[in-house]
Amino acid sequence: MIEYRGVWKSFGANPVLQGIDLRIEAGEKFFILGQTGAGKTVLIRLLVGLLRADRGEVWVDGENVTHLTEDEFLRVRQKCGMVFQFPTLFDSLTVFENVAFALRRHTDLAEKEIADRVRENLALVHLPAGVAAQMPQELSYGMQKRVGLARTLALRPRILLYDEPTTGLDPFTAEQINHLMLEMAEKLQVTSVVVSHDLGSMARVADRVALLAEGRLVEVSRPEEFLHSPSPLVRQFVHGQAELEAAS
Amino acid sequence: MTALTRRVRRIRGPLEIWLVPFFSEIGALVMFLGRAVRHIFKAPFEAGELLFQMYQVGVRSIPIVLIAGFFVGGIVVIQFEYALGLFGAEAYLGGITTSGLLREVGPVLVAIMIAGRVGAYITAELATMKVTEQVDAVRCLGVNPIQFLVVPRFLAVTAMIFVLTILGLIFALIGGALVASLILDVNLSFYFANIRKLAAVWALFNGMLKSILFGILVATISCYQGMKTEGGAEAVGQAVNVCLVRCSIAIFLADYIIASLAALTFGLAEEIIF
Repeated sequence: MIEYRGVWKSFGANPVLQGIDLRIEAGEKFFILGQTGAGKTVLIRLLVGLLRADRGEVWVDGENVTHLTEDEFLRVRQKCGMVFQFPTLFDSLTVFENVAFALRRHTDLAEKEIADRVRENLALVHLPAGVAAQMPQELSYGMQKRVGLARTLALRPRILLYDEPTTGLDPFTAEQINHLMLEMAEKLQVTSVVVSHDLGSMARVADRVALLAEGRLVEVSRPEEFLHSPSPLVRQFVHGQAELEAAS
Repeated sequence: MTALTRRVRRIRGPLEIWLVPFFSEIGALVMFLGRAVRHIFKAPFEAGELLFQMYQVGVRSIPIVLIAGFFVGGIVVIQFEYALGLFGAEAYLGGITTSGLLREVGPVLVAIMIAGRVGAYITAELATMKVTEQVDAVRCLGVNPIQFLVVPRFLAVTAMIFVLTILGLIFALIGGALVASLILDVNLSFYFANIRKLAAVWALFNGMLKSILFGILVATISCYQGMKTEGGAEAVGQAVNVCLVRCSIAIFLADYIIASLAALTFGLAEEIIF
């Protein structure tokens, strides 16, 4: 379970979050939508301590993480995995070493068991075991994103945070990522928090959705309710994007 | 408005523009060094990463350090031979050359070369990892980036500058002796005669102490500049540039301070220790 209680965050004189109250239940697939720069990524970065709230409280799995130190956050990050917008693979390490990275540092597994877990994780994101020996830059962008997901899954986190998972991808690869998000939620029983502005992805994956605009959550509802919401900001977001998609 | 207030206001401008950021940076660097040192003693120790960095920093720098050391030794001998010849003091050539190489030229030369070759590389690598969110990815995998990224580089640079200084010095001394013997036609027994007198163990200790300090400076500045980079490709370039300027200034400043302190205490120390 994730909870934001009256969270404020500013960058200089620019208030990005203004009193966010939100509760995400365990096992939910929750989408946070909003325009670019609305503060969606800030919201999930607060959960793993990459950013700190100016005011309010952030709770993860029944623990108040607002004021944890960097070292204390290392423990929270093991159960709260983040999949970045860009693959962020360590380009000096092979795919195998990337996926094994957290296993080698947080488990007592022998090398053979680590190799098995790496293969298992690559299979989970539908990548052949053969890619393990390759360097990240030898893979396509879509494959790199999947390796990034496999690396995040290595420690079997209970919460998965996706930052713009389908942005910049072609429709086919985006659909593969949508499918993976659904599959991970089902197979691993994880809570998924997805930051996106992709309505198609939201409609396909989300259990619930929130729209972040002007520093506040203007709507929290189910996808079908969201798409037919009377809220002017939601209508603007949904129809503005639909018109843009139709025009392109 | 009193004269004092006007004077304070006149001073406040330059203070805020130059001194406050200067001392803030010094403070941040010292705190960064403190964090790096504190994490050396925290488990788990990244031994594999340390060995890899020692190879990157040390082994791959050996050829350039040996070649530069050899020729610098030769150059110093040629310059001193000319100057000493004016006073008929060629007998002191070996002693003065060795002393100069041990105390000043060797440690400074190696530190500047490593700052240019390795310091810039480390800054560019860490800065690129920072702007491409790889550092955040390390944090999100439950690993402390200071422990995983900074500590191995810090230890590798500090240790390998020390080792490379020794190797560079050996080749500088060989280069100096060969040039003196083969080109300047100096008798090698003459050349070595005054080394013990002018280049005592104290000179070697002085040089080694400097190489350790220079190693800490280069390691701290290059890691710090990399880890504090924000932005994109331009910021990476700027970080490398700033790293090289700061490393060079820090090395020369530290060298000057140690040389001054050594000059003050040299006589006393020689009496006590030797």
